Amino acid sequence: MQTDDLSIIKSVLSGQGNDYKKLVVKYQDMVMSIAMRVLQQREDAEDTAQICFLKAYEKLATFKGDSLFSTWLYRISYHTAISKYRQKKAVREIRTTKFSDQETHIADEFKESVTEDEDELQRLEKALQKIEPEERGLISLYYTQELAVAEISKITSLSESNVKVKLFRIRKKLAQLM
Amino acid sequence: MELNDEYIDQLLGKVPKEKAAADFADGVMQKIEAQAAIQAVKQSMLPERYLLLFSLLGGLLVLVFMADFSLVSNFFSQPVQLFIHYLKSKPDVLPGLLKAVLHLPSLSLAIFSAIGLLLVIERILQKFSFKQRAGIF
Repeated sequence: MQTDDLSIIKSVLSGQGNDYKKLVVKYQDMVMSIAMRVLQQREDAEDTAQICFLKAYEKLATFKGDSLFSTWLYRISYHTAISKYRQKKAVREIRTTKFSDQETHIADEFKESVTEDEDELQRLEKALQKIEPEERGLISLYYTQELAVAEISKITSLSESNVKVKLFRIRKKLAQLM
Repeated sequence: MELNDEYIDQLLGKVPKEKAAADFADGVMQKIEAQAAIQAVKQSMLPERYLLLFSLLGGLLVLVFMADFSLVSNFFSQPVQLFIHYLKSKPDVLPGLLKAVLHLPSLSLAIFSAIGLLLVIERILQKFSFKQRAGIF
């Protein structure tokens, strides 16, 4: 898999710019998932995911291949999404206040039609909205992307034990919020 | 009632993955192409600025040379104090400068034509090299 990525990267760097699309197609869902989990809004997440791929394209020549391309891209995605969240924080707070009542109303309307499992997932989603963006990023990397703690450690620049402790605390926090 | 850690762990594993829009990759590629075009234009602007600066400096030097050549050669070969002394002892230097300024319309026309010609040449060269750079797409 890494060999495939490396050959595409070599091709892009040698002037075949269109080959970069192969990497975008391959990793678009992964980048989108992280951005969406951290930012919680589809529009912002799409913009951020695009920025991630643009950044990766610009820095492609600096990718040495000593780690997986996916790890390198995860790193860009995680940090870009968090910094985008911080930039948009003020605007998001206004939106959350404005629409929170409306969202609760919509959630109540559908409450009866959903199964118990879906209901629990909805409660989890609401709890996820209340935790920090870095914590949501960690959840996305560990649960959605199913990455190992060692890889998450490389992406987030946290020690492996710190990642484990943080994941435990996040689960505890979510349990309390639900 | 607080839910147990194992239950949350299982529930988090059930959170659905996000999917990018169908045209997402095309959008990224379009942005990359647009950015490459902007960078190429920026690169072509930079030498143009330098050319303009050099042309203006050249024009200024021509003015000074036309005013009094000995003034310029003395300026480069003598210390500043001597140069001030020279200015005081040669009252015809300032009228010389004034004379040059009076000739400015025809002179400036020649200078600006030269600048314009340089810019046109530079633009043609940049257009040719831009086509080569944009060729990767």
